[in-house]
Amino acid sequence: MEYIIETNKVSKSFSGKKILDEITLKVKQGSVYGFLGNNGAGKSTTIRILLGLLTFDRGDVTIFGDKITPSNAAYKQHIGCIIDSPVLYEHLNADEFLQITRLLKNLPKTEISRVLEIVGLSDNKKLTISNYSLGMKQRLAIANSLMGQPKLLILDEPTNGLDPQGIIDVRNLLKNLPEQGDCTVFLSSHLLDEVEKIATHVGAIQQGKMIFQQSLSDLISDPHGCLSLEITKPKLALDLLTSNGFSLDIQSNSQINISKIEKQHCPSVHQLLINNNIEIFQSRYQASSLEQCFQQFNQQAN
Amino acid sequence: MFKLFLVELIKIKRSQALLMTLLCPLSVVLLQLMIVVEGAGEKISEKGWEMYWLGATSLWYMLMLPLYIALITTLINAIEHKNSGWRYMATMPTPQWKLFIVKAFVAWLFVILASIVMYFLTGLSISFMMLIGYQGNDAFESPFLYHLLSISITCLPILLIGHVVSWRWKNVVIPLGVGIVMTMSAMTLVNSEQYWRYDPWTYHMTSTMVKNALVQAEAKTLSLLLGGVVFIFGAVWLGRREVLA
Repeated sequence: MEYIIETNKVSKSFSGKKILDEITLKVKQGSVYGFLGNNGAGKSTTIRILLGLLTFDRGDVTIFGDKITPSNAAYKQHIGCIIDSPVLYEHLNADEFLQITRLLKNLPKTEISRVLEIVGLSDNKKLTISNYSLGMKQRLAIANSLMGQPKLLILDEPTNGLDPQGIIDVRNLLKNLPEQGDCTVFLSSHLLDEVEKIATHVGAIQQGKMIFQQSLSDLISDPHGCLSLEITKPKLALDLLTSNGFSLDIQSNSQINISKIEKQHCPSVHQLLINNNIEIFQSRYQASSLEQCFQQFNQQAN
Repeated sequence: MFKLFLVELIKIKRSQALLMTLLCPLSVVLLQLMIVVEGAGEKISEKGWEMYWLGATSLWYMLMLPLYIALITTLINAIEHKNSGWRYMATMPTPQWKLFIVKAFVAWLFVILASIVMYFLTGLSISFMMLIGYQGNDAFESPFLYHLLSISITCLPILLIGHVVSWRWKNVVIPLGVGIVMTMSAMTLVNSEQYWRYDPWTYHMTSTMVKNALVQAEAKTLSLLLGGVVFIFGAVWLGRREVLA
């Protein structure tokens, strides 16, 4: 089985409005898949369809090689998830809450202490969840999603509410999961730099349609980056650089951006400007990033 | 199913369901005690404790039991509404129709438990009154088991209707409102020989308070039929329902 999640032209409408339009997702086994998209793009709807919370109008969804049907809930045995805000029974304590998952997934009692240890909540397991901070609730939700060492983790904004150290801990945890065991992570997030640090594959959705889907290394292997310069005489620089084949735009009275430039060409740009008595106050080269790619695909799709 | 039942018990153990299971019968018994203390003591001497039992059970079956059913079904489902629990449960390897059945079963057990508590507290109050000097015959001759068996069947339609309504609507005013309005209307309709059968809220009253055995049997049969229909409808409809919250 090459793909843990495979959707084929899945469409979904609410009250006649198309929310998903022939979505085709392919999530490789053992990968960390970053699922990107603006608010309202259809990320949550896609995740809810994968988890069987919503039905779909057309297409096929295959998870662990089996097609999802409304009557099939058994495949969820091997899925851990967080959807939107953490779902917790706040009148219970952490131990009781995890007991629920343990019973429903038929897991050994040791699982509770194992996952609480991972997220650092062992000392607070008898505290009522309503007394937890937002970060603690998020940690508990992550602990719950790890119950039973799932083969697939589906996480919607897993770092919401976490402090900086918490974000680093979760990032390391998610990064190591596929290496430690047979786990695939499907991660939705608005934090592109976080996704870039964790993901091996990325896909993006806009207005219900997939706009790209590939491995992160392929996506950002483009040798072209962006050179930002703070200089005098920006109009003269614009004419000079354009005539030398660079594409650029003026950001402000003193700032220009040269897009699609290879790093090795930066010194010659500096030289050209200096030779023409243009002073350089600041120069910054930014290699191709997920954020740039996302913006680029977004603009193309628009 | 058994593990799902244990899960529901974990969820409900810190809710107010257990407290209500004590308070609702207690309020009936206290009310009955007040009535007796206010001047019915002589009647107990004349007619025995049968009148006391009749007063307590009438209050329970006509007023408090249907209200308690509305309350307990609302409480059981409010746990999910309040915590986005439907979403959590839908991500577990358990079909929603099983959850519907188990929640209905838990509510049914609570109804039986509350009725047992009511009988126990009534018996306790009689013992207390005898201790302080009230006299009468037949102190503990109530058809307790027969009534319990009857209401375990005849509570089913209103329990399942309450369960469906409180599952479907997040706003607790709707299931509680339905329960209150239907209880009040049933108190009138139960006196009609012709129309009681059109109101499921009268079935448990008819099966416990009307002396005619045929009418009692009819109430039980109607309860089983209507309960079966609501049960199948609820399990199919709610079992397939999308989880949006």
